[in-house]
Amino acid sequence: MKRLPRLLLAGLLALAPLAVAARSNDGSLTVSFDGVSKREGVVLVALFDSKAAYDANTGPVRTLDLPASGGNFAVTLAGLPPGVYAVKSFHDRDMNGKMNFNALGMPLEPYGFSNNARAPFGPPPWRRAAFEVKSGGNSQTIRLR
Amino acid sequence: MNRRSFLTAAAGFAAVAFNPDVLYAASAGVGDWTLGVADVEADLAPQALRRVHGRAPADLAGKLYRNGPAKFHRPGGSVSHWFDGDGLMRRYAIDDGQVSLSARFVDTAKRRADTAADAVVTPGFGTPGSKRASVGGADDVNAANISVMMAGSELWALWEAGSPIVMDPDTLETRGPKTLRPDLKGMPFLAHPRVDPDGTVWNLGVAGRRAVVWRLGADGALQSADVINLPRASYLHDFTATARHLVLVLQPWIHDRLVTPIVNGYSWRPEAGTQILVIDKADLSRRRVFETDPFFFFHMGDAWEETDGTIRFDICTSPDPKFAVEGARAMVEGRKPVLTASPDLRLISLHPDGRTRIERAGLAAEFPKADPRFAGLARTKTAALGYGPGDNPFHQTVDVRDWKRDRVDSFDFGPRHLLEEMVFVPRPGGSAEFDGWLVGTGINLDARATELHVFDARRVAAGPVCSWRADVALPISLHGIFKEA
Repeated sequence: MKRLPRLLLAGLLALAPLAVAARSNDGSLTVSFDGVSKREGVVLVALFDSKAAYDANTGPVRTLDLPASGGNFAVTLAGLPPGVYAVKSFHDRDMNGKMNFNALGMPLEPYGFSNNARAPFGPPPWRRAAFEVKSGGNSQTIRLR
Repeated sequence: MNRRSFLTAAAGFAAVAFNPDVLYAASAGVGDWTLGVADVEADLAPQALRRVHGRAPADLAGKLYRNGPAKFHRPGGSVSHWFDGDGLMRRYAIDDGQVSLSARFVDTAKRRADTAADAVVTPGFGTPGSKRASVGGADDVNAANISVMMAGSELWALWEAGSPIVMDPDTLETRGPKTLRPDLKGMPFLAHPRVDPDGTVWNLGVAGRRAVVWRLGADGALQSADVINLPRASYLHDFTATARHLVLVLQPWIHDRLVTPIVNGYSWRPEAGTQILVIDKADLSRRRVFETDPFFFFHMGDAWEETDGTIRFDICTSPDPKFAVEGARAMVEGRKPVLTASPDLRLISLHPDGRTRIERAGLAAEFPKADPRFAGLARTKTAALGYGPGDNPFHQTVDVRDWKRDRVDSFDFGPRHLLEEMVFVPRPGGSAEFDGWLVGTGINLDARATELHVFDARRVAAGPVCSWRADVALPISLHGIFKEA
């Protein structure tokens, strides 16, 4: 089949290199994942600290790739300046480093956003995925589907 | 009145005014056609139907599978559109004059989510859904409630914007969404595949101005899936095919807004007219576009091609999409849909010189069906369901239009019956068009029961040759197939 430009969620998680946080900080964020049904591949995670970066899919403040261990698992990101953030993640089952889409632009790999935000026709807007990281511990649970 | 009782009274008033379930219940005395959109609460174990009329044809044997929405209302919130009820697969097994009926809901992700929430939280064609729904892709909202096909040994429950859902043809157990190839997972698959006489299955899946053209073998195996571009993002529920061409009628009901529910994203633009796209099956890049007057439609019959290249097909058209937008909403709220006009059976001819001609059958009808052995080939007859004059949005007549002889044979069940689509079943050993039976179902309102009727397809006016009755009334289903024994 001819490969066509991806419409839906195009370039959702083009992960940019780790951006170095220059500010000092005392916030931490524990992200728990559930719904990882297959013990294969990795879960790719990107943390954004602005609407501009989130919308453009560039300059995440942290990126992670976590072995998909099946069931539930969690990761803690320490040393975050308090502020507003959003997480994008997907289960890269075939470990090709990118999210796969079918020929009509629909996702072929499970994905999830902070607040478990959803939108019917593409990635949810920043305002629905954004959450506050305060000093000390913070948490998010993301269901990948 | 203290503050607390005032608030309680206000809350009660709001519930009465805005809860469709209350409206539905209040309307029960208005017209008992609402039995056609009543809820089924549980799967139906096999039960024998009782013969109430005539004698069963000795050589009629097989299974009639029918699908359609059957669970609309839930305590925490209901569907707001007839097309969003949970799909219930019904299986009528006919053998040696006996009929056994069983029915099971398609066990979809949508039904599981709505059942767990005790509310319809999943968005649909005309139902907004709730933020509580967790939707990852099309198959999370797939109601699997429109039609059914056999794919090799598998029974597929079909929706139109997601995958076929595989069921066991005997037990009706749900096995899950069908992925025909890993990179095609979750692609849309329309509810109205066209089947060539050799068993090759053609279907479309539509996403805006793009569509996938599916081609499967008679065994249900994928042969090809190619993405094509369309001239406009029309609502496309059905298409048709000749032996050589696919025919896509692109009505001027155009998807131009990404909103939920989906139905709210379409605009009716009669000034744009109707486009008819004809695509060469052998080379999908070879195409031709015909232009004609604006109309709305859901369903078409099989197409054929004359020796001079003229393409003909039957189609049931309406002046506008009022039923899809408002009528099907009214029905699940127990109100009779108020429409501009009932659908009208027509024959469209596409001439090689680019002219189009629309011939009216003079028959308000829907659910056109032809003899499947003539799919893509020249034929003369169309079976369909007609309407009665009463206060009932469903059908009460069975009609066969003969385009060549310019006549209609009809049988009127009267206003106490709600009919469902009739499918043609060939008589074993026969080969002439409509040599066989029309087999279909409906609700007898006086008996408050579902009935199965068999007509001699060439003598419809004589009435059913045999009818059987169940102990229950199942709500009106949409489409079915007959799998011969």
